[in-house]
Amino acid sequence: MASTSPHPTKRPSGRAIAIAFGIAIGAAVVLVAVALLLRNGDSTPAARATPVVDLGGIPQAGSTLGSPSAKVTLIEYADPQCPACRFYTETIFPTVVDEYVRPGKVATEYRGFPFIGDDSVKGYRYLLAAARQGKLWSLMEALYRNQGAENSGWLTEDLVRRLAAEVPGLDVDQLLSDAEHPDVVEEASNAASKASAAGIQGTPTFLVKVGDSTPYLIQVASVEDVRAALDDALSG
Amino acid sequence: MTDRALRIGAGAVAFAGAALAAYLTWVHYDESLLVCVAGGGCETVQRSAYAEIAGVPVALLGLVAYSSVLALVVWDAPNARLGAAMIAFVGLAFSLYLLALQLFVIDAVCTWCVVNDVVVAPLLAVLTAIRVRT
Repeated sequence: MASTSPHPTKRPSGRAIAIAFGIAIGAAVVLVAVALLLRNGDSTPAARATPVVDLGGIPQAGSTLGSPSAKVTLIEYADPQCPACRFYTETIFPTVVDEYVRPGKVATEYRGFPFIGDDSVKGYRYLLAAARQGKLWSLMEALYRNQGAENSGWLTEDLVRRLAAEVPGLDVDQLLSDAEHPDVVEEASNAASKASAAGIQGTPTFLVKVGDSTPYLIQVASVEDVRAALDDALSG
Repeated sequence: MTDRALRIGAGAVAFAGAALAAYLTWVHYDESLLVCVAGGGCETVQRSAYAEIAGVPVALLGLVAYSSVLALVVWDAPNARLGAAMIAFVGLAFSLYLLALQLFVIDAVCTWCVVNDVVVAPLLAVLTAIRVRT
């Protein structure tokens, strides 16, 4: 092989190379073993016992939270099992509620995109059932702060019964019954394909609608992002 | 291919690997970038129990490894060539383990992780191995 750079004066011997690669193989085996032994345990955040935001006194109708006369609507596509939706609910949503929804400036609408697994569809059925009693957002907040690892079977009827009982004004038996209603089952089952058809690729995905205009996509990675987007929509 | 071309190639691949690992380390720590994407994605993989070893992100280990190989390629003494090949070999073995995890355990594939596992790590291992005896 031709060379244009100064050739190394002392090339490693075949024996040195064999030893080096023997060490490398050993190091690779040890690294994989250590990685398996010292991997993180369950990375799901612990459940929170108390609501992250007070929704009391804010109008809820169907899947919408906020004043019916609000000029701007923040639409959220979400999956009950999605950890990123939990992150939004726990860290950004309280600001949206306190600064925009409670004062009546903005309403927020939940649209299901339950794609992660069977528990996603099941969770959305409970949310749609809660929507029939105007309590979707209250149950959603409770579900997210008690969210378990994806597809681990965390979303049990017992959990829903316990959380629903904590929501003032929510009839638990009615909720569980409505969750089995054929219309609810069908809507939850078709939600993911409907969202995909609308071009939604992940959760949470946010759109802003001003009045009856066509909703437009916004990026929400922080409280500042959502403030900027909502202030812009309100001033337009 | 000349040794100079091999050296430049190894350096460029090591630099690309370091840049990729730096990006994945940043994504790992920036919770605000978290999004659940249909079919899995970097975020799912990066939030899995396998994304850290004793609290250290595997992406950060990759950044250290690629930076070390880059430094050894720049140094270019015979032992540095051997050291670069050893680190690249260990990196390739670990990348294959991470690829297997994505495909068979986490059930989600991170595009940039796969670019590393299938393209960058093997290429660097081959280039640095050739240079040991040239």
